[in-house]
Amino acid sequence: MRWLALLFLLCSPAVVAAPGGSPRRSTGKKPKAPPPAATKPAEQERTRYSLALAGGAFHGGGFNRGPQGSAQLTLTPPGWGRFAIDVELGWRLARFRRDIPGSGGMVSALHSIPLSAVGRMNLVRMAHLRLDVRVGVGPLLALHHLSSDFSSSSVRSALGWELLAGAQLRFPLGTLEPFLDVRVGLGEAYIPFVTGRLTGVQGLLGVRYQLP
Amino acid sequence: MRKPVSIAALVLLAACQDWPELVIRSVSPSEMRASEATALALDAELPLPTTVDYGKGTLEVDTRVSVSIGTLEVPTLAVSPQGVISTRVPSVLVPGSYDVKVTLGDGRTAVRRGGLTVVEGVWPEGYSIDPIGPQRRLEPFTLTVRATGANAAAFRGNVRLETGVGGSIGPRVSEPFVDGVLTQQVVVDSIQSNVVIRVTDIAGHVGTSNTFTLQ
Repeated sequence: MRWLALLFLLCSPAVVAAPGGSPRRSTGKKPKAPPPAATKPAEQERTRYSLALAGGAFHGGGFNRGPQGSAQLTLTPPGWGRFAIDVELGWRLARFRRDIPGSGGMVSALHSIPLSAVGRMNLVRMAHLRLDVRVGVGPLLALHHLSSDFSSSSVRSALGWELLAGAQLRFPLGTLEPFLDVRVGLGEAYIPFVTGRLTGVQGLLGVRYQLP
Repeated sequence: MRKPVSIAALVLLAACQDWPELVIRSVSPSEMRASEATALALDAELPLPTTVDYGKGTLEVDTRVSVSIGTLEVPTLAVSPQGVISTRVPSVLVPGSYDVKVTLGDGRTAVRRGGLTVVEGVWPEGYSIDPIGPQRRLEPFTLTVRATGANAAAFRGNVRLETGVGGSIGPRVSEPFVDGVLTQQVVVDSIQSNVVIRVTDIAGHVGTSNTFTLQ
């Protein structure tokens, strides 16, 4: 029965919507509220925006690990139903230090800054729990900073790409909405002499605010 | 439409940046006497090439730094954490202006045009070489050379070392004289059994050793 209920949740247009969106009413039941056409608020006729900030960590094997952050602007155009688009700006940092025999300490820091266009589809919508899947792609700026006790520091950069796929579990609390974001990333930006994975398995905790 | 595309292209170009340029900020002193071996300090920005592997957590730094004055390669004695390269220029350059070039292990270079000026020197009148006894091929022995004539006691330059046809001597440029005297280990090889060592400076002064047996 649980599976039937889940299937119903997934398939019914009445229970899916993008962040902040209102569900469409099904036609098979007597509506408890007036028909949407008669009472649809004016704001539902325009694109809705929400802004999210999140922080977490990533791991891509070895020293390809570290903190990360993300800012997401979600656009839900009218009539898109369960779908929405995120514009996401991220930041990740992998950093380590080594002692070079006879010379001194050296620190390598690899920053990656992806800018992604992400498609979002709402799968589950309940009163205080929503689940979205997200797939995105976009350019990735990689910055490699080397500093040491014995050599001039250097910053090198390269442009690459990133592809991400993941899920977002949201907990709506009015205009604020805490969420848990889990994703897997794949990407590349070539900086000579640097072998590193700029992405990997990523987990973030964040909060979304429905813009007025 | 063309303007945003141009801006985007510029941003893309600006976003891709490789190693920063090497810069020689100063050469000190910027002038030397042709007859004196001179210690030089090159203040430079040296982002040393480093290979980074985040999977293994390794950093491999290529610390090779070479310096040349004109076409003359000079030894890199030390590189300080502040990027000051210490080197010593032998007195084998004729008066004039020379470019100073620094080369890193990955081939990147920085050139300071006319970074070193060599002015006329004060040379001894000649050289004498202390008697040399029988020697063995490729076995080091001590060579003593003395500057002679006026200015001899103040001479702190270098001389070139050579042997006759069919022979070789190492090193080919001596260490600097100390107050007119050079005492140095040399190695000689020759197809001849009787050998003469000859010293010369760039001003044309010469000294010749006795003929010694090489076994």
